[in-house]
Amino acid sequence: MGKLFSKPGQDRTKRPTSVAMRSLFHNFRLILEHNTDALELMAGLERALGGEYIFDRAFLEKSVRDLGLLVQRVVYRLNNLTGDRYVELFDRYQALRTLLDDILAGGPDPAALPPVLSFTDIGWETEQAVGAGVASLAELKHRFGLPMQDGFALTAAGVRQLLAHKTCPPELKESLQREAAALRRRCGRACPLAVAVHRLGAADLPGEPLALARHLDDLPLVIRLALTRHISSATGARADAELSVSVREAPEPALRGVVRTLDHTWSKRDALSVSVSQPGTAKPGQSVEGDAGGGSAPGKGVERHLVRRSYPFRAMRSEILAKPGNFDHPDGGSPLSLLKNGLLRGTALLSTKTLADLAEACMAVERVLGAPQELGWILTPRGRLLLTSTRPLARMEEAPEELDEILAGAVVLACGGSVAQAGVGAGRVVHVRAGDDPEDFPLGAVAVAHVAAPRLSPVLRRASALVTEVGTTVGHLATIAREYRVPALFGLPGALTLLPMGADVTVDASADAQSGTVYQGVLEPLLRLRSFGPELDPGDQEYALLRRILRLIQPLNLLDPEAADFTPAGCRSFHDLIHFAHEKAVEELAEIHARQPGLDGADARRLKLGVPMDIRVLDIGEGLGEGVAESAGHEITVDQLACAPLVAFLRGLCSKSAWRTDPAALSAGDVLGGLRKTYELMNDPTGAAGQNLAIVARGYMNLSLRLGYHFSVVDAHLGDNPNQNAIYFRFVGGLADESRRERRAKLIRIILEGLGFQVVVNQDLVVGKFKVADRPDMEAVLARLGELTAFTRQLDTDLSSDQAVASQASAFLGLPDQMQARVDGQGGGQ
Amino acid sequence: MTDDIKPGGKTRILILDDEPIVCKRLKPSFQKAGYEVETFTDSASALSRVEETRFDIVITDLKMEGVDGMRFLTRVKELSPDTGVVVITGFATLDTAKESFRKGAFDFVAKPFKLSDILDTVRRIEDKQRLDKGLRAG
Repeated sequence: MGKLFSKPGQDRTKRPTSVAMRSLFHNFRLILEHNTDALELMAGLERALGGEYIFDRAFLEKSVRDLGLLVQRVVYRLNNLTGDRYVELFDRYQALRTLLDDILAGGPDPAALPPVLSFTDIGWETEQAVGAGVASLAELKHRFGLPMQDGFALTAAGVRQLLAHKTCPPELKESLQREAAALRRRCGRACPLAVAVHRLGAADLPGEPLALARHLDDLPLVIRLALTRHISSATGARADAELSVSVREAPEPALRGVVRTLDHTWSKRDALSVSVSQPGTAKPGQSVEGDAGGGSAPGKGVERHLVRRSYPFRAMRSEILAKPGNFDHPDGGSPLSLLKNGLLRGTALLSTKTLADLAEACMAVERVLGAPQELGWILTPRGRLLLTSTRPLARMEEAPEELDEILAGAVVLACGGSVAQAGVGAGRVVHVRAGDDPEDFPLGAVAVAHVAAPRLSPVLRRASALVTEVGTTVGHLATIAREYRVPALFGLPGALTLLPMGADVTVDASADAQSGTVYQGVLEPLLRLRSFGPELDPGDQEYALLRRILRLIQPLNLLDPEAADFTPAGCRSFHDLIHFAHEKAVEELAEIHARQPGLDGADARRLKLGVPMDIRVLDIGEGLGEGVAESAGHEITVDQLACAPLVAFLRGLCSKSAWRTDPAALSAGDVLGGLRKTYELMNDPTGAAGQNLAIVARGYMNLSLRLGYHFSVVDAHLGDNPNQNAIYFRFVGGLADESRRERRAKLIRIILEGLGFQVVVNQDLVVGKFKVADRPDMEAVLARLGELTAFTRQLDTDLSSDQAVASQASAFLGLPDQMQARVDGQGGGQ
Repeated sequence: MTDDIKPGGKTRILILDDEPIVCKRLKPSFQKAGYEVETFTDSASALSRVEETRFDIVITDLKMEGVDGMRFLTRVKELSPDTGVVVITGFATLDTAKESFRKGAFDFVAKPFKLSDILDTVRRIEDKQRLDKGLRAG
């Protein structure tokens, strides 16, 4: 960061600058520096979640301490800059810091969670309130989209509250019934609800509920009954354990059974086993449990399948009971029913497709939880698959003996890249190309793509591993890979060629290697190592602790500076605090003339451009070339700028392709035909349009463009360290009806995403972020932003249809120049 | 202390850290790389283990309850001067680093660290041990 700015003592600006002005810039510069340092620390914490580092509690404590100090300094500097206009930020900082300290001290959940929580509000970070099993179930369902039962939980505090009274307190009763009604709305009005009691500290999720509630009025009573039964039967340590309760949907099953994601009772080969039975005919799982010797006949009424553990999850062996030809299958067919593919339905209770779906889902659970699992499942009469319980099978204590030998003999298809999320994944290679629908990506396959672009995020929910040719481990997609715990290898040259479509591979993105390796075929012993590997699992205390800490540090909730909650009180994380401070600091400088009339902006120099735009430049440290600062006159030329991001931006803004009036060139003839109007808006002599101000340093630019009714900000750091490079682009405003403004926002979103930005749109506010790219790529993207700025000024009147949006976006992105080629080449390692 | 033959010719590593997560994650990583690994979370047990068996490499935390890492390092070097010792700590200071080296540590690694970095350190120790052995033999 220090390279981006000159130090105060080294500032070559000799121009007379008031003490107040210098102080202002000094505070601004420190806010930016502390902001960057804080973001780096936050990124380090997040990378720790991905398993890259070995760390301990002391590291977490130190990180929170250091981060807290930086955030506190940012808050202090903002108040210095603005004359104590944001003193309330100190209170928010202190409140968050206290919560973090409480978490580190291992105290009760400090976030004051309500006593009844929907599964949508539960994650691993709320484990202390609901128990690991319930937290896992909720995460698997809502974060990973797996077919777990839906439900809600009564937290440990809620259980204590219930048991402390003879009758359920009215507020608690109301919360329980409200959540139950919401659950019924999601899963069916008549659906019975299963009540289960959980010990906090136990990792497994009991499969058999203790009670069923059919009427919502009975629910508090049924929960109390279940708790009383549990407590009266518990002994020893179990009796002292804190309890939580889950209430889950429990539809009547047509089929039920048990899956073991790693089972050797039938075969020496690693396989997943599935037992299937109809309710009332057998106890599911009994045959699997009882056949330790392997190979014996299944129990009465139970069918069994042995399935491969990787995509496409083919059955290796099945034991199916004989049935009459007119047997009624739960899916409505009979054994002799003709399927679409021309084959007969067959006698197996579970169809081939449902078997594969079940195996896919269960292997996804194993991947997420980091160990082989035993899962209960049901299939409803309407064909809905639900996983009802999961518990870890015994963990391996040692690496597989044959591993050395197998690795030595394995064929390496590709190696290199950087590990974004540690782990091992295997399956069939599927190439992901621009325009592919993520929903079509087969669950459990290995995704291979050119660029680690944000648009791949949905694929990560379905892939067993991801390999890209381009991308970095500190970008947005790396964050998503960590969130979904998908082994991910970024920056592996030639991956699309080396890993052909349809090949079976094993991706070893190990935390213990500098880079990754992709082996030919599915190496089961290596996959098995996943359950014993050096990765950080949800079962590790440090993992949950880190997640809980990050919940108060990392999320950026304040996206829209125009929103009503963009206030100190609205800051819910450290990231919010520093982002808020940054925005307000920028605003302070952008509004410097209005807010601090005493500072007459003597240092702002008018920039002479080849296009009719008025931009003033305010240098806060080596943003101007040697000797320019000392020179006389109020005008400077582009050649006199030393601010790399502004120079790159202006190259696009002033390029002929952006300003030429040939209508056909951009398929937006009338857009460019309206330039005269734009010039007028841009240079509104009344001053109503505001001032275009560029605050510059050698490697930093904050450009506020107030042109007519549009307002955009480009904030960019550009240096030699790709990890510190970033562009923030914000666009808002517009002189058009609502539908046209929405179309304009859509157009800008498409263009920004095409340039590799991560984009959030809120009505007609568009915020785009582009991070982690090397200097040439940053310069190319900034130049395109310059073109975009010229391009979008007068779009409102032309966006008369969605088709116009699409054609203008493709016209812009399709500009056949070298910059476009560069942008496509890297796509923004977000 | 016995100078056991390495099982299967594998290099023997002892890891001591009172944070179980460190042992849990280091062990499989070294095993996968072909090492024989024993882990300890209390220094007393680790101490009695090194009293009875020689390890090629010891990786120890510095700040622990009971026998701290510096004393453990001293004892290991007294018992087996050839054993390469790596000190890992979350409280790295220049003074502790200097003292570790003075007492014979091969390397000093601050937490958090990358698994690949500590694997590299261990491989460097092996190289040095091979070189020393060659020099003694030659």
